[in-house]
Amino acid sequence: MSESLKLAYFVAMKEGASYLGGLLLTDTSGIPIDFRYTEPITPTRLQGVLYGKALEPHLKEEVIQKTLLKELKSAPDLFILPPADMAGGWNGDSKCPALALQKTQEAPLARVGETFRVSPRELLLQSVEGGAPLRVIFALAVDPAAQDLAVQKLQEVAYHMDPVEPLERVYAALQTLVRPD
Amino acid sequence: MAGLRDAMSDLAETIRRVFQPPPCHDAPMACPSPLTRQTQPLEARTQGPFQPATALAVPGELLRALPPVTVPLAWTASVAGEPGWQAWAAGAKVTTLPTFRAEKCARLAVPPLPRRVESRRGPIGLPAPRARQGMSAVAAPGTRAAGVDLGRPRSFRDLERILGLPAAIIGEDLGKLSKALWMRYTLQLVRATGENIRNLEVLGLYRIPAKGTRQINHDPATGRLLVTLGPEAAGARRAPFLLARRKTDAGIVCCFVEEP
Repeated sequence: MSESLKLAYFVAMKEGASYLGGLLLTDTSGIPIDFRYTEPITPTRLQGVLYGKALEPHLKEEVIQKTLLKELKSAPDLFILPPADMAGGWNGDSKCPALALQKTQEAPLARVGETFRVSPRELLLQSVEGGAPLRVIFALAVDPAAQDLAVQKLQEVAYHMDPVEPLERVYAALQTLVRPD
Repeated sequence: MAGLRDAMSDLAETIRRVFQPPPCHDAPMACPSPLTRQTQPLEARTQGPFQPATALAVPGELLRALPPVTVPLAWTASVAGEPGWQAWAAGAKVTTLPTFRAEKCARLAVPPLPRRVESRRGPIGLPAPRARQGMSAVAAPGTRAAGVDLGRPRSFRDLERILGLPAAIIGEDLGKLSKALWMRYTLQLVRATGENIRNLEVLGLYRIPAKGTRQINHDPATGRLLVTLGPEAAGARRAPFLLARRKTDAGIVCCFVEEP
């Protein structure tokens, strides 16, 4: 097992009229190494009108993500997002493969580590023995070679931890920030 | 002489009447005071029991001649007169008309009538509108800079908050362990728990931080270990942790199988 692998889990959520984000850095066991979050940003009404539909992607990709990544001392190996953000077309520049993981109800693939490519940006990965495969969705900026490398790292990580679960922890941590009770 | 005396007497009387002051009469200025009357207090009287009305035929009784009623009449003598004539004669005012006399006067010059009327020769129409020579330039509006930039939010580090949330750790595949390592681990489990190895069912081998572990929960459905950590776990070494269940009472036993 490579002990140097670091996974970054990024969640940006909207709470009321404000946006805030959190970034969790874990090792290959899912143990937290670092956790950072932003203060809530509340766009003005004028900014909401001027940015239009681009407001939320801009806030997540340009403002919150860059602010949190800037604080990290070294770039993570994988940058993992919620599937909903990736489905909207993630254009953030994370300097590492950005991908989304989603559990499926698909039939298991033949062996652990086997992949089934669904589209140029999407594939199924058999991460554990006998379980349903994981759906891996890559960002537009991740080329096929980088995708293969990311799948290898993901397969290595999935042996020790559930690679999807830490996202729930980031959500829960942000919820405790905006709703302390 | 007697005639002259009477004439002088009449003249004197006439002059006295002319120059006497006009008569003055008192006018009633006081406001009439309202009359006060006493009102008899109401009183209640008892009446007899109600008697139902009954029709009674009285033929011709109501039309018979009534006896004459005697009305007492008394005549009172009084003196009446009309003092208006006396008042008119006493209050009459003699008016002396002024006599005509010669006054200064001026002659008015009557202006002559115009000999001919001026006729309008120009066309009759609406007055031509004035043409505006030039438009004044519209003043350039002032510009203001709106805060479009969303800025950079501050970020905070809070590792303790995320360590306090349970982390799911997957057990290692026991089948991939070497037999020697497996025997060493089980021996360590027996030593640490004092149980007979035949009475133990190994649930999993997990690599968790050697220190800072606050709470451990086992999820039998997924075989995962939910570990809640403290701040001491940050950067701590991962140590193999063996979890087992006693067959006799299903009690959970566990231990680190390597020296931390």
